[in-house]
Amino acid sequence: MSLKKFKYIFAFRNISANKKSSFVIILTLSLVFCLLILLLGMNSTFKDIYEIQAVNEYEKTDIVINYDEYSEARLINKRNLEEDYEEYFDNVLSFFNLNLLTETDEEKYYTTLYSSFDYEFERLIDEDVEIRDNEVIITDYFSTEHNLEIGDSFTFYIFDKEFNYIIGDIFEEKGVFTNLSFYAKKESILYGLYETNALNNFGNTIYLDVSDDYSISDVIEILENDNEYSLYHIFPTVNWEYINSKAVDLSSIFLGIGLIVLLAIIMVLDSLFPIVNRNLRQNLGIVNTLGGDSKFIYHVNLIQWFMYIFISLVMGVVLSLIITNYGIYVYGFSGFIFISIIPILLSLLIVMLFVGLRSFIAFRKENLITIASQSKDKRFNIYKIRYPLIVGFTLILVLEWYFHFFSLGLHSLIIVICSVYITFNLASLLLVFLAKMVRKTKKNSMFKLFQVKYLIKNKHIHQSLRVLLISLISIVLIFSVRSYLNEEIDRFYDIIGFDLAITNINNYSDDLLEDISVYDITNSDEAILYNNITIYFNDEKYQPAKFFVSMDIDEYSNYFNMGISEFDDQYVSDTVPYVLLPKNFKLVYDLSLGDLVTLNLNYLLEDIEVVVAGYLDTNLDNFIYSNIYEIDQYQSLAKINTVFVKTDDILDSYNGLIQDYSDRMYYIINPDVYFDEMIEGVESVTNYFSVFTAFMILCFVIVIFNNTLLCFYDIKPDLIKIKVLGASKKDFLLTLFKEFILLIIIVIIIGLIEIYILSSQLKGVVLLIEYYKDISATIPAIIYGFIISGLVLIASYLYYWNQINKVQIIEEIKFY
Amino acid sequence: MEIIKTLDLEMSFINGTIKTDVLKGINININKGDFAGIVGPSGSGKTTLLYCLSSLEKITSGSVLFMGKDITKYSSKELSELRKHDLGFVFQFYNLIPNLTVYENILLPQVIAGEDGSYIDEILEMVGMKEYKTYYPNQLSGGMQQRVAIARALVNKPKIIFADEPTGNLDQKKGLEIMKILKRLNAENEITIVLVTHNEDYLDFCNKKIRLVDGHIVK
Ligand SMILES: Nc1ncnc2c1ncn2[C@@H]1O[C@H](COP(=O)(O)OP(=O)(O)OP(=O)(O)O)[C@@H](O)[C@H]1O
Ligand SMILES: [Mg+2]
Repeated sequence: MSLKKFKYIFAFRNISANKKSSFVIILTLSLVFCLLILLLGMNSTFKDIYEIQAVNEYEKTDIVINYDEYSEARLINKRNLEEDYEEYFDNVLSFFNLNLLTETDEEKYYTTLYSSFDYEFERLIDEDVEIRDNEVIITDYFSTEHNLEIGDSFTFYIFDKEFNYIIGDIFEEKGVFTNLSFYAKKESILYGLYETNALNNFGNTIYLDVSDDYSISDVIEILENDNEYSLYHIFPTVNWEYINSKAVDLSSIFLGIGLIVLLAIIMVLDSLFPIVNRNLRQNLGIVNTLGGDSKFIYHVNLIQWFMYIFISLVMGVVLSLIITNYGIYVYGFSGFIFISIIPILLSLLIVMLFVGLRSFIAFRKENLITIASQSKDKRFNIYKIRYPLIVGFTLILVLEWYFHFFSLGLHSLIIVICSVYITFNLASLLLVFLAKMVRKTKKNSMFKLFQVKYLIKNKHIHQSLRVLLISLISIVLIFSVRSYLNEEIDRFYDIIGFDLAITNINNYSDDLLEDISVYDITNSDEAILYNNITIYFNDEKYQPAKFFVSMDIDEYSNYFNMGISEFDDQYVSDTVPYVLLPKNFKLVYDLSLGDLVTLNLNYLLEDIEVVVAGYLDTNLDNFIYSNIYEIDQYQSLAKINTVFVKTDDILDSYNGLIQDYSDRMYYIINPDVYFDEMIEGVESVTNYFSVFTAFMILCFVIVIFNNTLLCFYDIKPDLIKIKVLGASKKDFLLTLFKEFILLIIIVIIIGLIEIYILSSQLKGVVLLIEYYKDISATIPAIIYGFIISGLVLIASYLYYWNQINKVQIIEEIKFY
Repeated sequence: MEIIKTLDLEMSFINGTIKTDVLKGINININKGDFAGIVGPSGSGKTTLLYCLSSLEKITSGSVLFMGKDITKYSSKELSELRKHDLGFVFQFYNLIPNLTVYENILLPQVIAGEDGSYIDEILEMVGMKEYKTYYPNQLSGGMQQRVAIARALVNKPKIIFADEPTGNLDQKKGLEIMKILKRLNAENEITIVLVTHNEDYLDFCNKKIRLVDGHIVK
């Protein structure tokens, strides 16, 4: 037999002989791979999720054309599109869609009308439509929300005309047809409005299905260059700019704690080595006495690792596919996300590098020992405190802390790394100190005589302590980020200070403010509001925002509850508008007052250069203020389109305003209702996060158990001797309990210190990936962290105890 | 002909600041074909001496000559070659690899030496373990494991076998069996044997007796 073949057999035997350990190793490695793949692939996964979300909403539609408040034209002729651009489109669907006032059971509220020819609606949502002229189809959500059934009467108003219809069918929510939407035949609607059928080819929203031979962006460009359509809003259903920036946003949150998670994963990996290398010294000794090269066992060891890694990688990939796609399934989307090859290869590389390096070090260490000792030394691994390193790290920490040599991101990173190293060693020192205190006590006990020695010297106990700490810290951080995400919604609502907003105003005049004052209104002001703008900091860096507002600066704070900081009026001029940006932009984009940035507000207002004159006291990316309304140059294009309103009786004013202004196609926003949609995305992320958290915790559970088991293996020979001498189950329980208490005390003290440090530095670390959020550890997260790690530790000690009770004295005394 | 000879062999362990002198000037001669027995009280340095003779432990001063060559000056590669082809070891604890079968444990030195292992069955026959080829060490009794260890020491046809209390864990009868196997190897295959033992009775098997007391040889 060749040496090579023998190595493979040897490696395979090592795996198959210890089925339990192999199982634990493969399980842990699979989880590690899964976590790494999820972590590294997060950005592209989020993109996929958003893409699927968009594709699900619009199904076959690739491009939407509609008008908005900026355009004069309000109807689009479908016939022209079909004829002029025949070869580009597989389908051209012309809809007349409106947000309008609906009345059922004497209740008035906004709904969305979809109207077209039946065949068009059938194509849009892929369902068969069968209703009469005076019937509507509503969504199932609509029917439960307002308690409506087929046959109920249904009234709605378009301009000041009243339409009395009957509910003819109820459809499941699908594609764009969701929430409070209903469908009616376009012929009957248009006839009701204009009493003619001449307009049947017109619509205000066109859904286009681009043929496979053309690229969507090319078609958009062609349409934008056509004079007939230049006034409309033409947009792709899958908006990559938006998807990219959102994905970056979300994955940044993960990557921020990713550093700690990565550290935790490395420690998890590290904890596998003592298991795999359990017989390493003995095997090396034997092979060496037989005249073999120590590389022999090294190779066997690596082959063994590769076998584990290969199996685990496959399982990890499958697992991460399941997790990712489960998330999508829960959201009711259809589609399948494949994980791209890069995160998989990267995870593999990280694990292989670590395993290679770690094994190499282990062998180097073993090779320094004489062969004679390899064959006879069976003592446990001794823990050594590395004082020079501790002193070195402390020095760096203290110097960096006081003198700030590096930029905030690096500063925080250095502090995190140093503090983790120091506190881990502090924990060990504390354990040694406490154990020595116990040794000094007068009363003799099994714990004092026997366990204390292990606490001071055994490497696995100290490793256990670290694993426990890193688990605790990771859990606290993960929960903190989770609650941060959840609170983001509250923070958003805290800022919104207006009770109602009248938007989509296309012919504003001052009279409006006076006209609306009849509705208990305490405050109202005119403003410009754009909902989808992009800020360009330079050619590569940009950021979309949802709440671009331009209005009298003194009134702004009435409607948006944020302070303004660092405002400098030297940047206020008549020619260049200024902006106030969320204060996190300052750090993320390295801005200073006076910097110029470029805004794209809408297709009429593009590439507008503005100067940064101050910051808004928020870390939410969505809010931007500008004084553009005051600048002459833009006044003809940047028109008042919104009135913000404060009122004593929201419901009353709301109903009144709807009544009076919906016929002008103004849209009345009640923030409580309106913004829920905007926030939907956050939820899917928190859910994804929950799965991630669960896996991380599972990983820690295994590792904590593993480490306890390793401690047990180390202590077993001694335990048996004590057992032979007559120690009872109760004696062992008491001894383990004391050890447990000692560990818990240390974890609480050191854990709190480290959580405090990390909590203050986390936001700085995230800055390294161009992201800034004020994330810090929350009390509930800390409590969860302690409860979970405490419970796992208790469970692992009970398991430990059980193992002691089960030990077969005879089995263990036998040598081989 | 001398196969092993030591000149003023000294050996001490240094643990931190504590120095323990274990072997204090040992001069011995072992000839080809000898069956040498090393005896002495516990802690007198028998095991250490055996390790030094067989190049497993580095000596502090003096020299160890194997077939006239000073092996303390050998590189680790040369030592490996030496162990591969000329030396065999049997320890008190059988030191088999627990995850490998009996057959594979014996195959190991063959593979290391680049040989094909065709000789293994014959060896197993010789130590009476042929039926246990596919067993794992933990499925065997102590005596059986020791016989496997001897088979492993033999398989590369060494010139000399070092055995450290190979009967230490065995009862009288099993111990005697092992001794008989060793004796037969010595007599029939002309393999030199260096045996460390506590059991003075086994000295009857030996033609050369080395008595160690506190790191010195006494006559
Ligand atoms: N690694 C070591 N470090 C320090 N001292 C050691 C070491 N190994 C052995 N010794 C010491 O060397 C001396 C001789 O040990 P050795 O194992 O050679 O004795 P021995 O004669 O084989 O005893 P036994 O008959 O009990 O096996 C002992 O005093 C022992 O304490
Ligand atoms: Mg000995």
